[in-house]
Amino acid sequence: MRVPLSWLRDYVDVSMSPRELADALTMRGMEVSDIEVAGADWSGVVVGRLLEVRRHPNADTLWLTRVDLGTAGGEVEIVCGAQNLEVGQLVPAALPGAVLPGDRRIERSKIRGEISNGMLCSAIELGIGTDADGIHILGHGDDLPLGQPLAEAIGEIVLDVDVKPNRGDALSMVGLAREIAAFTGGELRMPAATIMESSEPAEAHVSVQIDAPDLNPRFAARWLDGVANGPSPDWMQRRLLAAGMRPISAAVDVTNYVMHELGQPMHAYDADTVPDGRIVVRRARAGERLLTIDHVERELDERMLVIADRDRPIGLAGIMGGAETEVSERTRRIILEAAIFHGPTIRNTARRLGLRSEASMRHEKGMGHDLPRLAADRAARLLAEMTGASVARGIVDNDPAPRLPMQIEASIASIGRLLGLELDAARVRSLLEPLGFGVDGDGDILAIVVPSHRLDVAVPADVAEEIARAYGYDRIVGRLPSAALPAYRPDPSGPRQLVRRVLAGLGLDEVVGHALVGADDLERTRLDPSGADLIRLHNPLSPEHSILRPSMAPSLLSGLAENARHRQPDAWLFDLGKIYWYHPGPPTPREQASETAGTGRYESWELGIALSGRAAAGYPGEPRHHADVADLKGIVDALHDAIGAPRPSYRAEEPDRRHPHRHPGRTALIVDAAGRAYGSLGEVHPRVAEAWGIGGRPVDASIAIDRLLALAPSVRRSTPIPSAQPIDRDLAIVVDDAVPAGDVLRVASTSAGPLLAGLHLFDVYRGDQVGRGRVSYALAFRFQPTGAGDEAAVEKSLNKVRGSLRHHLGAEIR
Amino acid sequence: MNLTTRLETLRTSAIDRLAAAGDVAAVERLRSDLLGRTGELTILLKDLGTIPIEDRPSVGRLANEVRGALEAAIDTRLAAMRETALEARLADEAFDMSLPGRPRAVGHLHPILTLIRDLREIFHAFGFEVFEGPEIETEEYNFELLNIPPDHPARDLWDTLYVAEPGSVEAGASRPAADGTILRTHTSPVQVRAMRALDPPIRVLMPGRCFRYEAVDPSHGFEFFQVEGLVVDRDTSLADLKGMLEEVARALYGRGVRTRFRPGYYPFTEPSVAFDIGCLVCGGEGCPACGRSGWMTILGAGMVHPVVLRAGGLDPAEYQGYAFGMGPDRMTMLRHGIGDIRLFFSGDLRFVTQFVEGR
Repeated sequence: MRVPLSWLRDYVDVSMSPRELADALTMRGMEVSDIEVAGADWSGVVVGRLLEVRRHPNADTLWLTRVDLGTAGGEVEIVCGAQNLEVGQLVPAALPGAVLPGDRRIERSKIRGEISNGMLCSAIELGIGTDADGIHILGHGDDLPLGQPLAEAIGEIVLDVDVKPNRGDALSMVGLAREIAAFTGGELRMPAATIMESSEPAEAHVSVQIDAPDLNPRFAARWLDGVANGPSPDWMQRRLLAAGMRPISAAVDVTNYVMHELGQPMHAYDADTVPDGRIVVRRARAGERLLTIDHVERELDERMLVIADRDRPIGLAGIMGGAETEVSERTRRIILEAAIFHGPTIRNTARRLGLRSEASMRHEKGMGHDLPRLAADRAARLLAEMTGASVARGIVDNDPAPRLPMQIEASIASIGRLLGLELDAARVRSLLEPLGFGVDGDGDILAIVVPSHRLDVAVPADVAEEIARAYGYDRIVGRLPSAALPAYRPDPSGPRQLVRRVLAGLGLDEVVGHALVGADDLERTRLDPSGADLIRLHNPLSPEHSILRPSMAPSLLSGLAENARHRQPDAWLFDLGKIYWYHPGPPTPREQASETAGTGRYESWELGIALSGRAAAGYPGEPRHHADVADLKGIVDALHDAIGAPRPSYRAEEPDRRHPHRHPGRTALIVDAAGRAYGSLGEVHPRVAEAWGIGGRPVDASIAIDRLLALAPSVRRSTPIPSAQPIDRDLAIVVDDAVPAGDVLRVASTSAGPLLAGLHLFDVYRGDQVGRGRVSYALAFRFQPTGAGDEAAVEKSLNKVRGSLRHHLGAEIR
Repeated sequence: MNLTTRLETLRTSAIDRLAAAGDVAAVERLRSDLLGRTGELTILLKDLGTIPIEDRPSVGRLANEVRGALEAAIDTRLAAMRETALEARLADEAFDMSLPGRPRAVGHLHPILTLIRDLREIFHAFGFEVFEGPEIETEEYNFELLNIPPDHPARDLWDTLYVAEPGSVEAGASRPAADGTILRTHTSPVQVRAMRALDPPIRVLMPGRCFRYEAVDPSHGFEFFQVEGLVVDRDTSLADLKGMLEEVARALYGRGVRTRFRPGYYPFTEPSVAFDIGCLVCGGEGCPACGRSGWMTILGAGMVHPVVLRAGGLDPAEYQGYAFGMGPDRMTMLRHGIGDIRLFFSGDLRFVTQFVEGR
């Protein structure tokens, strides 16, 4: 809310500087986000005095003036076309080089043969009013120092106040003045709202029928006759402009003025356009239409509240009036409306129609029961003053009786405990009474009487906040954390932090991809974008981010593609995030171990790794190595080693439904000792890489991280360091080319007996020496004897290995 | 020539021959010729039996002395030759030490996740444990249980991404899921989950990804991170909250940081708090980064609203506590001087690799 300081000062004395006031309001919960000077965009405009006004020698409608600019440059001649000039007036003079609102630049110029050293400004040129005809007269004689910059002379300081959603009562000059009065000890001056009423009874001209009392608890109306609806006075226009409203006419300006002054949205109807002055408040009927004052025809439905005459809607309650009942310069009789409408209904209607306004915003936040009547009176009084209208006797009001104020029982001890303050009844009273609260009682339990405008105070915790605000958050002495510590619970995110560090140590860079992907991403990844297990958004910001990713692959490939676009083909990266899926019905075991809010939507932490190109820059003279499936397996193995999980086995498999983006001959499941898959890895299908615009032959892996972490024992048992020297033996075999190396290693290690301490494949050979369709593997065994005589046991083990390889794999031992 | 003279002659000639031996192989050959099983000294000693028995000890001593002297001379000569050869090799092996090292890949961690890790460590020191909740939430947890009923004006603070009713998008008639499934707009629903899962005293940190219906620009994104904190016991007060936040600000931004503890508004806390630090850009003078106020808001907080305590299964007459929520995205931007929030989710390694261990 924009708060012109001079306007605020009508209701409370402020001796603080604008900065101090802004800080004080912020410390009371009404954050001042900016202090601006309306008119700060006048540069080079100063106060001048007219010394002489004579006819332009070459133009009948122009004047040649001599202006005393005082300290800003002495006497100069300025040509002017306005007809309201008199010698002695103080006028705003824009000097050559000045810039006016709208970036209008003023230069010295020749007008019909006479030099004009600048321009005298009208209100509209200064952006402080709607009057375009006359120069904006600042005063006479010595009212202002000559040559003073105009911003200093008449600029308005405006605070931009961010009123919180629960403090609708503070969305007005009076509301803020009430707060300021409370913390400065000053006095709140309420605006005058007494009226000289005519003898004409209002109810003869206006009736209000409320068909939807749940949505319209209060409706107050006044009737005025003899309105001369011209422009509102300059001072009112200036204030409205400074507050961000556009002046229109006296009748409209008064309703806006009172809304800003008191916080009550109002509306003025041209009474002659409302048959019999009969107003009906009801829900709109489906298909009803209303032309609003912005000249847009709106289609209404039953969820909306309208103001209607006998037959048709004449306004959208609390949001915008109808064009047909709008006041104009011809308006003579006015119905003034000040009502309370159901906030959520107003909010939803305003959102649906895209019509949020100062009025709808105030209705959403609500207002006190007493406000409409005060506002109706205040507006009627202003209209009578400004337009010469006479105000009919009485007010049409459906619920004139004042409400009993809300009362809250609050314990001083509990509030003190909540705030960490020592409080007693006298203290509470001295803090709350300036804010308009009543405080009854002297014991621990006080009866707090809430003023009717404070809709936000309903429970003792609310009272506690009022006390804390009044006491001053800044005066509360912070206490260091005390000793009531909870029982130890392991950190569920701790092991993931370990995984991040391990992968970074292995040379991979961490990225964070969007969880929301698009159908195009899925298609590029060969995932089915119409899958029934996908979780889609109802209101996505864009199609590119409308589906929760079912796999890390789209995120990883998008990361590789992003870097490829920046000519960074070398990217070894990982992303530790969640994947998401929908599965109605009883959860699978995997789903039981996943997170869910219980809606059939599941989410699970997943580690994605993608490698493309080189891990590091090359070395002079050495061949460049590009990432391949073996690098990926090496990283996955190393990750297992680093967190203490047994290495997995890799089961070659055709790309399944969940990994259709892989090269069909280069993909495998990551399998634990019990044969359960908990991840997969492989080379990206060339078509997929192409679709993403990734060059080379990227590879990727995906691992259910919770399943991986569960494989690592929390504590490893120590084994004694053996005293005997290890025994190393090599074995070369030749098998059929179709035998996978994994089978050779599995058979060798399972048949080698308990002394086997290490086994690795150190050579693979295909060629003439072994014959077509055959392959030679060289295996290195390390046995760890535990005592004397174990050498013979080692030889026995090796024989068993030879036998098993022959028997199971048809191996020829070399 | 008696044996003694022959031994002395052998010694003298051997030293000369050693001096003449040109390389290690010649010296080793000489060692074999002199001292080997059929070497000159060995053969010479075969004549020891021919001399008088009383002379044998002295000649024997001399023979051992000669053998020792020759062995020592040979070893010395060999060592000198090896030293010379090594020196020659080293002189030959000079390497251009200005050539680059063989590159090793060093991975980089994402700065937001590292900041979250740092927060976790700071709060761990105060007894906070990590507690996590789902990203796909229900309106009940995200709003209702947090004292934000339907149509509450404060719902506008959290523009929500709604999960579609299964099948409705495909059918071309998208509608929000009938069971109220949404993407969580903040980590605050985890407060209720933590209260329901744990017994007081509760002291938890709740980090995680959140989603909002928010157009993307340099300071806003539709995905972002939050870190929520919750303390519930019998007498933790607003003063405790203030002390905790001041300490956290000092841990994050240095002992000299200026802080401001002021009223804020959240439906799920009462009293509510906004917490500012002196602007890190201008130091408090006022600049565009802080909206000329000299302060930057780094978190929102407050005493847990009685409605929320009750939603968590706790009796507000017995238990009270505070909650706070931090934006690690913005904190990371402040920490590293990052100007565009979109870089966080870009996957661009030119960004991520700027941070060592994420810092």
